Amino acid sequence: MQPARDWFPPSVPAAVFVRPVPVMHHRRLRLFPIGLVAGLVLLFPHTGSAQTGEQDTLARTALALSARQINVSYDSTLRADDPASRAVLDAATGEAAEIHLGRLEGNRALRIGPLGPEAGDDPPRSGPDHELWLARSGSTWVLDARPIPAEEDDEAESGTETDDADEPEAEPLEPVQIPLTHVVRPDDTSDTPLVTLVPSGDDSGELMLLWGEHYWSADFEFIELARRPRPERTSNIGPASSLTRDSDTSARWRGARLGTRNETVVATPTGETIQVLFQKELGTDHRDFAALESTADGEIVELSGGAAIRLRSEVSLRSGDTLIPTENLAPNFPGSYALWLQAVGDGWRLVFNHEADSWGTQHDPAFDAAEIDLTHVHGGATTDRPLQAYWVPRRPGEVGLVIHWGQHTWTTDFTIEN
Amino acid sequence: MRIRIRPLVVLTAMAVLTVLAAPVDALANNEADVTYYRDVLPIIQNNCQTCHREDDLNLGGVIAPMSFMSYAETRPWARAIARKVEAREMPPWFASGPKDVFSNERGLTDEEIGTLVRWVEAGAPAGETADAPEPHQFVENTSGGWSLGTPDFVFKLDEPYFIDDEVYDLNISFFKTLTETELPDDVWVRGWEFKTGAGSVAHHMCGFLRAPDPDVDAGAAAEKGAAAAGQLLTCIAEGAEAVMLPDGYGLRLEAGSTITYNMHFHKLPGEGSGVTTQPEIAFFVENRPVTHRVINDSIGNTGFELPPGVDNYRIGASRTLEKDTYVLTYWPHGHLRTKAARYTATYPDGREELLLDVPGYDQGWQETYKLKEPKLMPKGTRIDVSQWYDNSPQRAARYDFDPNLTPGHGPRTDDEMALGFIGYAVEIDAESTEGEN
Repeated sequence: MQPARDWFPPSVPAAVFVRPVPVMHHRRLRLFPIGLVAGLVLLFPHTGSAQTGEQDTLARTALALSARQINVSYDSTLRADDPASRAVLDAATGEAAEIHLGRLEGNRALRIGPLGPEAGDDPPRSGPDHELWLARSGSTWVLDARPIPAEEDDEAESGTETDDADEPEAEPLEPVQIPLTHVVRPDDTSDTPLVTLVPSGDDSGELMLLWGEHYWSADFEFIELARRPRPERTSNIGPASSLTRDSDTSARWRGARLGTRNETVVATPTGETIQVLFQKELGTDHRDFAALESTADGEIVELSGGAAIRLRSEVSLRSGDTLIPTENLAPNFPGSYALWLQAVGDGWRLVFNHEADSWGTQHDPAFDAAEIDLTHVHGGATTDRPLQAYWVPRRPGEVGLVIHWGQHTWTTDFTIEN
Repeated sequence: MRIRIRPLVVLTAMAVLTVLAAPVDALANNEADVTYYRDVLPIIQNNCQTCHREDDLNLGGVIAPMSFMSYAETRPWARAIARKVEAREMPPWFASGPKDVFSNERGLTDEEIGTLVRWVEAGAPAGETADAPEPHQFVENTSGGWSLGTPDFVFKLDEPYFIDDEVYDLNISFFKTLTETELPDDVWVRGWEFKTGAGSVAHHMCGFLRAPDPDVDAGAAAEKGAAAAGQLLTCIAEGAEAVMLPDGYGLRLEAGSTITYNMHFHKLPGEGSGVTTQPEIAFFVENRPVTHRVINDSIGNTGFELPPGVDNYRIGASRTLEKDTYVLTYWPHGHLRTKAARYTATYPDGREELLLDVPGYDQGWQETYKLKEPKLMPKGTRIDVSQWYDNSPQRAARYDFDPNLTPGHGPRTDDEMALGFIGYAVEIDAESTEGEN
């Protein structure tokens, strides 16, 4: 199996701490040579355990909207009934407490709660890389986001000259508390924390955390940042890229991919990724949505305005008796499928097709691989939701796929085959 | 990659020549019923010499590795010519259908093929020079090297650029904002032609026009490269030709526009391999009334991931026309792994039509398929483009790429593309916006 790549930052050693709040001492951060390169690094972070061969206990989830990414990695070994966890989760204790949950990383344009830039701000020198602590004080819950010291320190201290050498040193970053809405759901529990990143618009989404019988959420969005002024130029050399035969251009491929698609990815603690790509900006005002509303029995939903939804999974997935295997296109290659919605009687079906890079008008049943029934709900307050697809971790070893469009919601669950 | 295989073609052909030249010499005579000057030269003039001229002219389609401008130049290749025309590999035309709709369709009749074959079987005799037709007059011989004639404007990059010896694969955009002296007034243009100025080192050259916009800083936009370069004029690559629009069709060239010269150079690095380039774009003004505004665009899929080792993988793209559209050209574009391409139309009434089928795509021949007449496609017509890819070790051995890679969309020759370029026009009176679909 080809290694996972590109989606997630390096592994963060899992650590569970419970301690009173607020007790924090921060290194003074020295943020150096970032600029455009930082944006690319954040947009195309290196994979963690799967690349290094190491294993950790972190589960990961990522969402890219308009090529801007938010990543959350979190400790999958935390148990709700552990004493350390109960000290936080059990409201009966009454004391303020916190527990280290994981890490938040993402694009510089990410704003979540008070963390991140505001519209029109100059681009920050770095993305919102923070350790996340789930903290409670009475009935108030927050994600305490604590800046991660920049790795560029070593380079800076070694005297390496950078493009930003003349820029003033960045102010040290302070921890930020991200307010969480909180509800208790006794009927929907999880012994381990489960984080879902739900797209809600073309540039916005919601971070959801389920743990124990608690359910928290926080909205986030990607801000339109001010553009840096550029010198007036009227002729000659513009951008250039010189590559060799051996140049690794996978980041460019990914950049091109995210130029037109949005993406959600989840990764197992052993690093295998499950990805879904969907065309961005396919709103309910698009003719394809009107066509969806009149889909006849047996018909496939076509997307003239975008490519077919694309699944790429480094693990085989099972839905009931139906196996969606890896290596369907090539040995040692992730399972790659186009996903098609099909109206069947009063319900809906998800069709997996081997032509993973078909356009949304080009379903060829000769290449169908499998089909599974979908749960479908039509309704809700939000009527103009664009086409979206994302993964919901259900519990260890299980993941759900959710597809939204307008008031339609289709869901199905899979178990991860090892 | 044709640039890389061209020496191989030449060597192979020379080997064929070495083996076969002697028998041809032995058979040559001037008494045969088929002679070069009387029977063969007219065919070669009409079908071969457009490309088979002195090397490195680097005009639109002039990429042939040998010249057929004289008997002496042609005769050594006689058996190779017979073999290629019998196999219908020459003159090159890669579309299997539709037939008789493209103005630049190449091909020989059965009678012409028979003439060439009989000529070779007779020993490739020269015949009498008095039987020869008048030499073909190429427009570029009297127009400063431009195949469409003498242009009204030529915009050359202000300064030359040196492609270093170390360069293997370079994508670079140059830009130039037209001064009032260079273009004082807005004009309609009906033709344009490129010169890369870099010979066979140029893999492609794309030209873009961006009209002046007080809200857009010219330099900032240009620095973004092709993504912000505005209206695509066209791209040329090996085998591509210059563009001249039908009567009444035009593209608006506004005073103060910024031209982007998006260049892709590809060569083997090494001492002395460096080349100086100073690309040029020539424009031919349309002074007659223009009724249709021309737009060049691509129907593309940039989100793909080509699996390793597979030999038949389809990547698709589609566009539904937002208004009545007159289609002028198709140009399927892919790289080393691209093996076939197809355009189809699905009309609002459900009827389907094959627009272009290229079952044997070769990136060394970047053919633009030009319709004889603009083809009206009504609003709501869907154009689907499919391209098939061969990432197998067998093709890799032929085209020199790594079949274990899983390429996505990228500019390097070793990357891939799945773009179906299309040139089209909309009636100016019918335009509600900029005329784009």
